Amino acid sequence: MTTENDNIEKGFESGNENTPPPVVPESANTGMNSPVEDFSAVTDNNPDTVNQATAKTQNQTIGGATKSSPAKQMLMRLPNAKAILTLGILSIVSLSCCGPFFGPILAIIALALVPAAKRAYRENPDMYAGSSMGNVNAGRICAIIGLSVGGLLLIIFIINMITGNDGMQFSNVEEMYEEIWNATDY
Amino acid sequence: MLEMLRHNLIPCPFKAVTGCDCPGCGMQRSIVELLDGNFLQSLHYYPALLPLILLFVILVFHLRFQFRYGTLILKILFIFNTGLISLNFILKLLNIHWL
Repeated sequence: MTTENDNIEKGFESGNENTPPPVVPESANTGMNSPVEDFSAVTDNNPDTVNQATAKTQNQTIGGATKSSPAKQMLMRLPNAKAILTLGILSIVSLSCCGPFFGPILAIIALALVPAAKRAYRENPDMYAGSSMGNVNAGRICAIIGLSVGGLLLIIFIINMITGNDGMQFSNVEEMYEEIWNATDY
Repeated sequence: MLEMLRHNLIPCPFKAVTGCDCPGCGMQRSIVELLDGNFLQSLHYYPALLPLILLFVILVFHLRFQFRYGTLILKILFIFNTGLISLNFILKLLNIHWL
């Protein structure tokens, strides 16, 4: 019981009213017989904030447990926001440096990380920074573009490998164009 | 050092199979020329290299310092880069040498 009380005291010393309260993990709550009495035993002065804190701790299960000091960092960043943006941009960069093999994979990883971040933002949007959500959206757009371009090239590559043409059909475009141009007698 | 790089470039599997340049072919030559200081030759080999470097620099600074319009700039620059790479790819397929 002493560790949880210490956490709660730190939270109330450092945090303002706007900052999200520290989260007691659910595994700790299950051991208690009467958690409300413990909270009231810590702070008898303001029972209203204690009730708000208990109400919020039941809702917050995903985010806040990772950061122990909410006063230093007012708004948290979304999980994997930077990773989504970086992977989305790397998808097109890797397409331009080592062929259309790694780009679609990176784009798919980025797109797979997007729904978790969006869900976390939708559940409690006050806790996360808005710029972080912008990062997620930008990364999503970049990943979609990279996936479409890289997938198209990969399809061309696979078709060409299966049909086994030694030399792409596209390389004959110029000759065909010249033939058509000469046929017009211009 | 540059001569050693110039003679030990990584071959392209796309080009080995299909026989034509992939959208990234020319980038290593372009990097070598850029390290050598020939900007025009670098642009001739791969026009999208300098915008890609700019995109990376802006990405790193944006992730570190969270600019206000950073995501908008990144999106616009990304679409510009994609367009440039695709245009370069199509023009190389058609054997049109621009720049």
